[in-house]
Formats: sequence, C-alpha cells, structure tokens
Amino acid sequence: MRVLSVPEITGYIRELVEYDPILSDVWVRGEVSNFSHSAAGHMYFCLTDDGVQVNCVLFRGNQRGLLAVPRNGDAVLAHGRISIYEARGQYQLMVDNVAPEGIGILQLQLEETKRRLEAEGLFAEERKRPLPVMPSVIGVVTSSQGAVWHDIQTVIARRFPLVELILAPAAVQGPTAAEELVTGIEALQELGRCDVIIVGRGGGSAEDLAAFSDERVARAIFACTVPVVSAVGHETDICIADLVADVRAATPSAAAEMCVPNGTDLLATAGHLVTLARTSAVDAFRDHRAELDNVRHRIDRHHPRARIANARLDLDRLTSTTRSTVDNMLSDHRKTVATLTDRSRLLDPRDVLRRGYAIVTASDGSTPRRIVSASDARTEAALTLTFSDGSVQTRTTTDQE
Amino acid sequence: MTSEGARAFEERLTQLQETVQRLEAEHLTLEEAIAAYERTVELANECSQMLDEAELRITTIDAQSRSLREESSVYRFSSASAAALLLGEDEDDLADLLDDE
Repeated sequence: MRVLSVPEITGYIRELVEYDPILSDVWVRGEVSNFSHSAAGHMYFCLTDDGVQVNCVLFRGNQRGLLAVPRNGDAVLAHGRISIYEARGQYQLMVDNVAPEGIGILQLQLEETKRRLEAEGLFAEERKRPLPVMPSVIGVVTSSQGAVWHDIQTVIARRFPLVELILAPAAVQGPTAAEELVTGIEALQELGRCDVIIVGRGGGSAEDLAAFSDERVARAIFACTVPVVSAVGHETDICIADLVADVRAATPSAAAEMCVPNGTDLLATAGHLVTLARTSAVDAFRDHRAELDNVRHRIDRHHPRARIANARLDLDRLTSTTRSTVDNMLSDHRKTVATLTDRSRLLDPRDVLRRGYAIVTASDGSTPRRIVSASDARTEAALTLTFSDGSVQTRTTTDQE
Repeated sequence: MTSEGARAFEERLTQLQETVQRLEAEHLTLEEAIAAYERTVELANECSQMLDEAELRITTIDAQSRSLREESSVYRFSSASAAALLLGEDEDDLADLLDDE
C-alpha cells in the first residue's frame, strides 16, 4: 500500500497514458456534440456513444486537411492521442484528424500517412526538381515482367534511343513490394549513373497499388538524389508516391515521354538551325560582295582611264574651237575676195564696150594708136572702131566742126 | 553506341546553336562564314546519323547484389531523319550562289 500526493498520482497516470501505444495513436468512433469554436480558433467537442463521452480538442494548427469537419450530430472517427489535463484531473483526446464514420481502414491509414508526410514537407512544391532535358541514363524501378517495362523501352527507343536504360526489377504488388521498390530506388541511386528514375506500375485496385502509398517508398523517393517520376497507371486515386515524386505521370509510357526529348523534333530543330546558318552565310556573302562593289566603284573613279577620257574631252573641245576660228577667218577672206572681184569687174573695158562705147584706133602704122580726141581723128584717113564683138574699118570723109 | 551517346548528341546540338549564334551576331570574314555554315551542316548530319544508328542500351541491376547485367537490345530508332532532305537542298543552294560569283 502506497500513499501518493495528488500531483504524484496524476503524474503517474499521465505517464501510463502517454506511453501507451494504443492511447497515443488511436481512432475513436462517436457522435459529435457540444461543438464550439474558441476565439483562438481551436475546436472543442465531445464524442458520445451510448451515453458515454470523451472530451476532444482540435487545435487550430491541426485543422488543415481534415477528412471531415466535425459538426454536432455527425457520426465521425477522430484520430489523436489521449492526454491528461492535470489541473482538472481530466483526460481528453487531442485530435489531429477527423474522418466520416463510413471510411475504410486502408484509406484511413493512407490519409493519415499522407497528412503526416505532408506536414513534414515531403510533398512541398518548392522541393520538386526539374527533369533533365537530355538524360544519358534513365533508371526504372518496376516489374521486369509485363507491359510497363516493355512500354517504357518502346517509347524511349522511338523518341531518343541514345540513352541507356537501367532496370531495377521489383515486385510492384504483394507483401514484399514496398521493400523491393525501396531497394530498387536505393540500388539505382548508389550506382550513381542515373540522371532520372522512373518508379511505376500499371493500374490496379487500391490493394494492388498499396505499395506505392507505403511510407517507406515515399521516404525513399524523397531521399533520392536524382529526380523521380512516378508512373502509376490509374485514373482517380492518387497514391503517395505521386505526391512525393518530382513529377507525376499518368502512365509509364507518359513517364518515358517526359524523360527524353523527341529525337525527330531535335533533328527538325537542327535542320532549322542549319537554315539560319545558311541565311547568315549568304548574308555575309552579300555583304562582302557589296563592299567589293563599293571599293571597285571607288577605284574606277580614280583610274587613269578616267583622266585620259577627261583629257580627250578637253582636247576635243580645243580642237573644235580652233577649227571654228580658222573657218571664220577663211570665210572672211572669201568675202573680201568676192568683193574685190566684183569691184574689178567694173573696171573691165569690155563692160564699157557692151554698154555702147567703142575704142577708136588709128591703124596706118604697124602699131595701133589710141585716138582719144577729134583733132587727132581729123588727121587720120582711116580709123578702126573696136566694139565688144569685133572691129570695123572706117574712112574719114568730112570734117564737121 | 556508348552511354555517352546522349551527351555527345547534346554537345553537337549545343555547338550547332552556338555556331549559328556566332554567325548571326559577329561580322565574320567570308571564309569564316562559309566554314561556320559548313560546320552546322556537318553537326546536323552527325546528329541525324547518331539517332539513326542508335541502339537502345538496356542494363539490369540486381537490387540485392548490385550487379549489372547488360541485355541485347532489339530497338532501333524508327523515325526517318527529317533533317537529311533539308540539308542536301541547302548545300546545293549555297554552292550555286558561290558559283555565280
């Protein structure tokens, strides 16, 4: 028999309760009553069943991601641990999740794990790593049998066969699946050659996919030093591996496509680059030719040929000037000569004869003598009258004074 | 084909991009420009050839013993290289242009 103080007995009960594995991690089924929301945002309510009740506290910090929000009259499952409120000698359930009563145990566990890992930051967006653009080695953790491994090979071979695929075979369902997946991820990681790792399987029932929601697998993916693509072929349910992985692919084929570039596209890009290069080279060629033409043009302008041509022009101009000067002089002279000719014609005696005059000569001697006065003519017996068209002999008869 | 295939391919593609950038950005002599262009054709053809001749290399690792076992691959790249036609045409074009001069 012992005697304990109140704090001693309360402390003892507290220790018993808080170290109890069941009481520290338990789902409690009951109906919500006396629900209240404190000013600080905490929730207080009772779970009652068959007239028995448990006080529950749901702190504000635990209210994110609840599977159900408790309301009076709801039949729920509340998860948490039992703690002792020493000042009042009361115990209460410190709730960290609430679920609708109809939920299955597998899903409860799943949701619970999900919630815990999320709180630890395993799903954090900022932790997601980008996939390598052009990996050399891709690790694959999946079953060596079946369509998944085959599909991945086919897709990679079709798109970009320059990579190496390393398969770490693992059971993807059954009791050893989670462990084998973890070992596979670790083995590939230890090898140190993979640029990215695909972890996957085909679709299946919730039980088939259980390994991909196993906490060990989630932690192995989280710890992996290279990016991980989850590739679980399912439609709606998202398993935990999908949430932890850096990238989630809907199917293994889709995962393979994400991991490698499309070789045909790359070749098209290469072809386009060559076209650009060609355009640049042709442009450079044209630039150089334009430059050359420019220089050539400048050279032409200073070529001796051009000077010669100029000199020739000068010469032509001078020549024609000279010629016209000489021509002018000649024509002046010609005019002078013509004038003189006209004038000399007026002095020609035959012109006078044609106007009716005659030349009178005496022809008694051997030499004709000009007779220019009547007195001289009176002494002559015969005179010759010369007209323009010939001469006649005359005889002097009478003297008419 | 070694596992360095992807790396080698990537290097060529990078070189190709850099060569084009240099051609576009810098004032190269005519010889340099033509040499650079010819280099791009060469690189693109190499890329095309690498893909055409690649065989997917497959290895299995035993997760327990960590031992590797290489498997023979039956996969070949099946898409015809789209670039080949394009390249040939380009080459002729430039040659014609140079002949004109």
